[in-house]
Amino acid sequence: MHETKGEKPVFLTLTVLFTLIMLVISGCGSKKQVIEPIASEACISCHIRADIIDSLYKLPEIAAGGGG
Amino acid sequence: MFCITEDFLVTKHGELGCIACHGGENILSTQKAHAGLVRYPSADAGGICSQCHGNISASFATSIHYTVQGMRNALADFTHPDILEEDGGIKAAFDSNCYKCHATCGSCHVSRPKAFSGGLHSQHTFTKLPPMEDTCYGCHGARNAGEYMGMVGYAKDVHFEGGKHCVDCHPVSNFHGTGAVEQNMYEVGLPKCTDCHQNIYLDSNIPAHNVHSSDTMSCQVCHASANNNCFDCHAALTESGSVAGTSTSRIMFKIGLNPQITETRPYKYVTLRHIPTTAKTFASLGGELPNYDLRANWKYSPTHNIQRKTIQNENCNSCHGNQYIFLQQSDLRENDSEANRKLLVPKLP
Repeated sequence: MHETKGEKPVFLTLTVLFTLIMLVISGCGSKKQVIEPIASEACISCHIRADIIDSLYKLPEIAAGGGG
Repeated sequence: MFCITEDFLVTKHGELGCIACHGGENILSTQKAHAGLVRYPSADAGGICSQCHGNISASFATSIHYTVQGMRNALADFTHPDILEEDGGIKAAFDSNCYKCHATCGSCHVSRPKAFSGGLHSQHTFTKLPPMEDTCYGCHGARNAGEYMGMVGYAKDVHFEGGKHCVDCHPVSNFHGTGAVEQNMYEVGLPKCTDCHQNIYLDSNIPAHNVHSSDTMSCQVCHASANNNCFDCHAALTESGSVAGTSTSRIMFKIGLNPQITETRPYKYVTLRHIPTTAKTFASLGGELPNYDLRANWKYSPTHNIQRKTIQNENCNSCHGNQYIFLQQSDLRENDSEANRKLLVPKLP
């Protein structure tokens, strides 16, 4: 089938749009995570349950500050 | 004591690990684990949040939720532009009291604001849409948010009754900023009733909408209810060395002349609310307000307790000639600002 002059640009445009949409959906172009994960098992083991915190936490003789 | 959940650990934020944002050490020793701890990682104009949410952090840094610039400007207008650069009673009051309502990313999306005693509002979950009763209410609870939810005054807002959150009217730019250096809340693109109720004057079979032009009065003049007005604020040092303010409040409804007619607020009549600042508010701290009389303490207030039917719109005579709802000379107190006089309704409509 012969292509008319109008069909080729439309076909190319649709192809480009489809490609872009697939890239966006796949996550390409999304902001890369710039914060590297850091192992924090010690934090989690204390802060995940109140009863663990209560059993592990001992009031220091001199207040050390910090959160909690 | 703050707790996290196992559900949080599998979220994007949870997978980063506590130390990635809060610092500290991965050691099972309270003292060593908390060495170098950052309690509020988002405190500095987004802080750690800006590394992934850079665009939001950039605009937030100049938003009034972060800078509370409106309060800064008011104090500067009362005194002089550099008042908050000088050590003194007014700066002390601002730092320990007014500035409590300065928001960070965390104080809405993770915890309650400091003005509301802090604490996590849903353990350590990061909420895209913060619960308004824990966040907005924390700073705005004595007035708009409290009135909206029916916790202050005599009526709640019909939009709240319909399940609407603050953000259903207020665009996110009202919280995250516009990118411009915001000076006060009137510059941030506040929502208008006509954003949803389009053509309410032109295309209405309501007689009151037909006989009044759209710039005669704000919608709240007919549709808002009595609201919280505060008086006689006195700031003083507490035993702990911080500054606390005490004031009295009354539920009232007052209509006055528009303090500042603008393109978005073209009305002649608007609802007003009394704010508690007096010339002697900071006197016990050694602070004076020499320009007190240049700013009115009856303020334009789009009160957030809208109802279709109100006391003042029951019929024409409920409003017209009703001296009790219009700001009169007799409503001014001895310690009120002279600038209020221009808001008095000279002749009852």
